[in-house]
Amino acid sequence: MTTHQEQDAVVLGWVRELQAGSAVEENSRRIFVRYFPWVRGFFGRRGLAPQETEDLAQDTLFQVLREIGQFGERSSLDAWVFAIAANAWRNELRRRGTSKRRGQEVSLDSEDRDQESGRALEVAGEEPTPERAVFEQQRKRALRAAVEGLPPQMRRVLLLRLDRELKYREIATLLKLNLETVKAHLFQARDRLREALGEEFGEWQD
Amino acid sequence: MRCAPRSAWRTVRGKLVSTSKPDLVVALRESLGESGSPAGSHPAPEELADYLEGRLSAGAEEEIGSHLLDCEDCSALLLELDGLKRETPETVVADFETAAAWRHQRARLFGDASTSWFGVRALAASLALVSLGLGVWIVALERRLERLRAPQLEVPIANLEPLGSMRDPGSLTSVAIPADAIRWVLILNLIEDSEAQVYRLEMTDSEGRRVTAQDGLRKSPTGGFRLSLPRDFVPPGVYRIRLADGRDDRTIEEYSLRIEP
Repeated sequence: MTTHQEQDAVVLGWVRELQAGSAVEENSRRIFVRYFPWVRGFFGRRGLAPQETEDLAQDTLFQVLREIGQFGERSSLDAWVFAIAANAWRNELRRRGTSKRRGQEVSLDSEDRDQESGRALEVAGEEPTPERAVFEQQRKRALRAAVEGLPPQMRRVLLLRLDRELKYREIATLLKLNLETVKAHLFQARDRLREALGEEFGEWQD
Repeated sequence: MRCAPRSAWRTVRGKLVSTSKPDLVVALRESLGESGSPAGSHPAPEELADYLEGRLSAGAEEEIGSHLLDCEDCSALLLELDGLKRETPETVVADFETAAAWRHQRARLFGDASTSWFGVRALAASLALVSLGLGVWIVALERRLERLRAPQLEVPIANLEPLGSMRDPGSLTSVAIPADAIRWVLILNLIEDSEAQVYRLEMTDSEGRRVTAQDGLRKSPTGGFRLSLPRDFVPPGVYRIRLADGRDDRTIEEYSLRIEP
C-alpha cells in the first residue's frame, strides 16, 4: 500500500516526463487511469445520466492531458484536476440554465413538518395569544443568549452538524479542524446548552 | 447529532426551553451572521483547492470558510477534492471500463487510425480501392484465361538448330510474334544423341544476363524439345539458349534466337 504522498510523487514524475515530451502516450495513459474513476464518480454523484457522466469525464481528462504543459506545480495535480472537473460541472449547469442548488437540501420548514408531524402548520394556524407572544419572545432571547455563549468555532461546528447533518470528518475538512476537535466541540456544546437552557433542552443523539 | 423533537413551547423551572432543531439552527446562523443562503459569487474551484491545501491568506481563508457555512454546493465540491486526496490507488492497472475509456481518449488525443472516425473512414476507403482493383484484375485474368483456352491459328514457331551444326554460327534465327498471338513454340533440335535423362535450359540476353532457366526437361519421342511458351515469356531481343545435362550441368547444345517486336 502506497501513501497518498508517495502516489503524488509518482504522478508528478509522470507529469514531468510528459511535459518533457517523454513517453507521451504511456504517461498520458497512466494519468488517465489514475484520475478517470474519480472524475467519473464526481460527475456521477451529481445526478447525471451515465452517458452524460462518461462524456463529461472524457472531456475533463482530455482538457487535463491537452493542457498538462500549463500545470506549474503551484498546487497538487489532484487540485488541478479537481478544478478542471468542477469548472466543467459549473459550465454544464450554466449551459443547462438550471439552479446551482442540488442534492439533498435540508429545508427547515420541511424538516419541521416531518419531525413534528405538521406542528408548524398547526402553529401557523393558531391565533397567538398575548401570553404566548411573550413566551415566544423570551424563548428566542434565551436561546440566542445560550448560543452566543458558545465560541464561534463551536457554533460553526454545531451548525454544520445540525443543519447539514455532515459527518465529523466532513466538518473537520470544511472548517480545517482536527477530527478530535470537532468531537470535543460537539460534546461541549451539548453540555453548555443543556446547562444554559435546562435539562430538557433536548436529547442529543450522536 | 439530533435534537429530539419535544413540545414546542414550555417552561422548565422558570426557564423557557425549546427542543426544536430548526430554532437552534436559526439561532446559530443569526449569532454567526450567516444568512443560510450564499451571498455573492461562489469561489472559483481553484480557490476552493487553495483553501483546502492551505495556500490562502488568513483573510481569504476566513471569507471562504464563511461561504462554506452557507453554501452546500461549494461544500460538496470541497469534500469531493478531499475524497480524491484521501485516495491511494495501488497501481496504474486499469479496470475494464477505464481501459475501454482510455482507448476512446487515446484516439481523441493521438488520432488512432484504428478507432478514430477519420481512421475508420480512411480504412474503409482503402478497402474499397483494393476491392475495386482486385475486381478489375480478376476480370482481366478471366479474359486472359478465356483466350488461352481458345484455339490459336498460325502459332509462331522458332525452330532452332544447334550452333555447332550451322554453317554460319553467327547467324540468327528470328521469330516474329504477332500482337494478337497468345503463345509461340520453341523447337530445339539435337544433333548429338545425348544420353541425359533430364535437361536444363538456360536463356541469357545479349548482355549475358540470365533471363530464365527451366529444369527437368525431357526429350520428345522425336529426339528434340518442343516448348509452348506464352507470348510474354521474354521480351523482344536477342537471346542465347544453352541446353545442359540436368544432372551435372554439362553443356550439350547452344542456340541463338532473335525475338522481333
